Amino acid sequence: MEIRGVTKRFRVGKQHIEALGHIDLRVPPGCFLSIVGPSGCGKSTIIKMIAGFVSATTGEIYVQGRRMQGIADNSGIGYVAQDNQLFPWLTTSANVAFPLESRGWPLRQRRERVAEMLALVGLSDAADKYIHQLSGGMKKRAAIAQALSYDPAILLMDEPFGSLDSQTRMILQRELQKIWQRTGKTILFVTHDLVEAIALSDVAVVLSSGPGIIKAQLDVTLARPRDIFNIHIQPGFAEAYQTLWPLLHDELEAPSTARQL
Amino acid sequence: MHRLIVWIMRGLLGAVVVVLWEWTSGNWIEAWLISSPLRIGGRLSAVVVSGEIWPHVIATVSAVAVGFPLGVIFGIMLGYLMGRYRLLAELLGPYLMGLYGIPKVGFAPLFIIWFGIGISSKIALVVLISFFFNFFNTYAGIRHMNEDIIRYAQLLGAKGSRITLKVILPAISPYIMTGIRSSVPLAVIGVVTGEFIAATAGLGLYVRQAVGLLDMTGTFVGMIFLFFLVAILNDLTERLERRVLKWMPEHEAVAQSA
Repeated sequence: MEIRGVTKRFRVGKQHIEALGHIDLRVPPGCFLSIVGPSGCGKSTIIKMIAGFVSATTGEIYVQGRRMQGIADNSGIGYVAQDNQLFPWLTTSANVAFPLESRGWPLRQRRERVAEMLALVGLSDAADKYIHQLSGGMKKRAAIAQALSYDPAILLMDEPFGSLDSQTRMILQRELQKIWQRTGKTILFVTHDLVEAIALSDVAVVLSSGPGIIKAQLDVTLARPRDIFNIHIQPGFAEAYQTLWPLLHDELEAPSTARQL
Repeated sequence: MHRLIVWIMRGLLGAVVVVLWEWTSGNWIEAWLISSPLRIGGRLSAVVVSGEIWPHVIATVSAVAVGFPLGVIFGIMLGYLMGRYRLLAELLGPYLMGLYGIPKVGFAPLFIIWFGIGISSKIALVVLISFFFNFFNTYAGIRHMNEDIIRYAQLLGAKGSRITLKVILPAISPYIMTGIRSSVPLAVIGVVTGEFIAATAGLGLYVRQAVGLLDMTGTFVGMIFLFFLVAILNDLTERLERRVLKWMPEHEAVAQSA
């Protein structure tokens, strides 16, 4: 996956706001790359542009060598949002089956795949529950199962664990690491939490506050599998944190300036 | 236990009212004005046994059974189209708002002139009345719907009619059900009003004729049939709603306590 010279301007009333400066980013196959930045830096916008939900003002996005234009091209992309992406009128298993039905999978294969996905995320017992009956963590698991069900090469995750309590978040980070290692997906993960970014990623990218540009890109060399619960004491964590935190900290202090044009 | 007590007390309350009515009739108030439960009961069984009432019941029920689904379907279809296509909403919106402001039963005499005194004019009235409620609710549902849900569906590979049928309609089904539920009694009011004015058969006609003869017993008999008609229709829509909206938290709670 590659992002070339992408910028984004929004119009708010009569003002133009530059949300993203000039972004060039390459995510190699199988890589777990995190984008970390302060709120309002445009990190979610990057993910929404790749998914085709918003268009880039300039620049190009390529996924597996194909230029992406709009949502229709995105069969190779799975998407896990901050909240509320599951269909509440469907059960957990029907939610996971939805993309397969859309692709015309026959019933038997659909059932097999749904069972496999629910087992992968540990939700086999909740297959027939409606979404409102699931806890916050279970909803995230269901969303991951849905996004992976049609076997996309790339998984986009937009602050997926932001709304969870810290224990549930760590458990899901551990699960995600496992799922990633088992499936070999390319993951682009957006977060405002530097610890999360370091704990999960091969590469961590720090974005500046608006207009977002890439401020630093760091290979995180911590050994895998990583012990998420004790990530702080894992060799290499402190170095990575000390490299990135001052950069992020500067952005938090910087006056909130989505630059007005 | 609590439910049992409530049921018993409710029954007693009804019985007291009936006994008081029976006693009042002919003692405090003249019997021809308020009839009495025993006379009404007697007439009720008489019209059922003689079969006299059935053509009226059938006429009213048919008008609702044909007109109501049509009104609901037209309403949902136009509400959907106007919700999805802004230009259409801008073109038709003011006209529909204007029509909505007119009390729909005002159309009854007009429809009788246009479609005759038979069932067609009653059907037309039911269609019109139920159309508006379902149209406005469906339209409101689509306007309040989170558009992101369509984008997710597209990202998940859904296209065209699948998005309409499997995503948009379920997403706004609470609104649609509100439209259906609130238009049921209005649809019956529409038919009966039409039948009051001019009809060849129908419970409205039956009641009007009874009133015309100062036959209060017959009037109450007609009203009892109307009561049961609305009660049955309400029960059917409630069942439908419980089925359609079984994924919503409140409905689950209702289903469990029932």
